[in-house]
This record gives sequence, C-alpha cells and structure tokens, in this order.
Amino acid sequence: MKEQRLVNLKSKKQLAVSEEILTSVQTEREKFIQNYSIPHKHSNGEVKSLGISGNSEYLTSIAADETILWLIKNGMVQMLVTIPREEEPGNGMTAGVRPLACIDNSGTKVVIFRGGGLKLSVFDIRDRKAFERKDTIDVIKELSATGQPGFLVSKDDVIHEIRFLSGESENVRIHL
Amino acid sequence: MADGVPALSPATRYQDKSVFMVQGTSVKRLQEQLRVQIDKEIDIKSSIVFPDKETNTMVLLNKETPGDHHFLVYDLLRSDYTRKVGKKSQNDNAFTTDQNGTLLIHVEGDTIYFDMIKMPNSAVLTDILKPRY
Repeated sequence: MKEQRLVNLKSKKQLAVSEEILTSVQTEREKFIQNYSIPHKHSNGEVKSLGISGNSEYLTSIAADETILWLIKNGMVQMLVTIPREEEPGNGMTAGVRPLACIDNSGTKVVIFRGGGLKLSVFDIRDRKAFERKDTIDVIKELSATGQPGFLVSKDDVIHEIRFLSGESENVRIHL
Repeated sequence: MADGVPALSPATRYQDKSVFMVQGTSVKRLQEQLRVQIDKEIDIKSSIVFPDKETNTMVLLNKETPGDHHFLVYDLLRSDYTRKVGKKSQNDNAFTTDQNGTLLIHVEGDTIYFDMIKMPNSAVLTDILKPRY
C-alpha cells in the first residue's frame, strides 16, 4: 500500500508559506541575489581597489597593469572595457600608493588615480565598448590657480577616496 | 566633467557618508557612538566603506588578528555588528558594497566575490518573519 503523507493544519500552513517564499524569490530575482563569483581577469598583479557607481550598476577594478570596467545587472556581471596602464602616461604613479578608480552612474566617465603627485586621469567611455582619454587633472595646480587659502596640499598627500557627487559625471569629490 | 571651479573644504572623516546623513536627536547619540567605534577601528587599521543610499549600515574589513581577516557589518540602530563574513585570502584588501548595503563585493586571489550580507527588503519576508503575539 502506498504510504500517504500526513497533512494537518500546521504542515499545510508551512507549505503555503514555503510556496509564497519560493514564488517571491523566483519573481523578484533582483532582490534575492544568490552569492556568485567571477575571475577578475587582470593579467598581471592583484586587484588593489574596487569602485562602484552610485547606482551600483558599474564596477571598476584596478590593478598595477590596467583598470577594468564591469556591468552588474540582475545578479550577472559583464566585462566592458579594459584601460591599460600605458594609456595614463602623463599621470605617473607613486609606489606604495593604493590606486583608485571611480565611475559615474551612466558608465560614461571614469577617473583614475595612481599617485604621481596628485594627478587624476579622466576617460570617456563610448557605448560601453571603447575608451578615450579626455583629460588629466592636476589637483595641486587646480587648487593653487583658484587660490584656496588655509590649506596646504602637497604632492606627498594621498587621495583616500574619489567619487562622483551623486553619481553624476559633472563633479568629483576627492578625500585627501 | 563640467568646467567648474574646484572647491576645497575641511571635513571630518566620513561626514558625508550615508550613515551620518540621518537627522534626529535620538540618532545623533547613535552616530556619536559610531564615531567612537570608527576611531577604534581606524586605530587597528580596519578599512571602512559605506553604502551610498542605505543610512543604517557600515561595512568594514577587520585586520586586527593576522591570519583572521574578516568583514563585519555594523548596524547603526542596533549599535552593534550584525554579520561577520570570513576571508580566505589575507593579502587582498579590495572590497566595496552596493548602494543598499546588501551586496559585499570583495577580491580573493583571482576571483571577485559578490556576497549577500543582508536580507532583501521584501514584503513577503517581512510578513512571514514579523512577530505574532
């Protein structure tokens, strides 16, 4: 004789709750993200820092050799653009300084810092496929040109954080 | 970027972070406690990140004990650490969190890990887990 499962009121309710959770997990996949991992794809060296856009859609990983941009969407990650270190020639770098990169909410602007006397490289990202070097910001020159009294910023200072204000590509905030 | 004029202003550490943006006298006391906590963490060389939008969370990488580096999630309203995430590699220090503080993104060797560190904000879960007296 086939064994029958005993269903009482308690187990019936538990079953209904389980089905409700399962439906919720299946329909709201962007909320119930499963843990996942990806290879970082930097050919040389360890990843020194990660930067995420204000809306959490784009991620930058920066190592000694290059900066890689990633797209994060619905629990999946896609590699977009690689910016080699050689593309930042005027920028230079300082040994021992942690390199930093940040990206704006639209994924069109990237700022990279590697030391080199407080200089930042700015890149435009086109169609999530290609990059174009746009500018170099010399923080010391910029500040001395505008005459900021009461602050002593030198080339030995280190930037701890760079971030686009509100994720928009117009203003960058730098913490020294 | 717009051709604007750069501005320089003094700032206390982390003053612009989400967790310090909450207004209210009761929260002020918790924020002061958090400041003391942050100073202690900085003394032991911990790295700290804050989510962009979530105003209740701080995530830090504790490197106090050699060989036992780990991530901790701090909850402002509970004034305590609510989650600990172990770390395999002791050399990789790169990590960040998403805007809602639900995802911890960190590097271990050749891999970038995306780990959930908080229950999702779901109406179904809230209903099921709420206390019934």
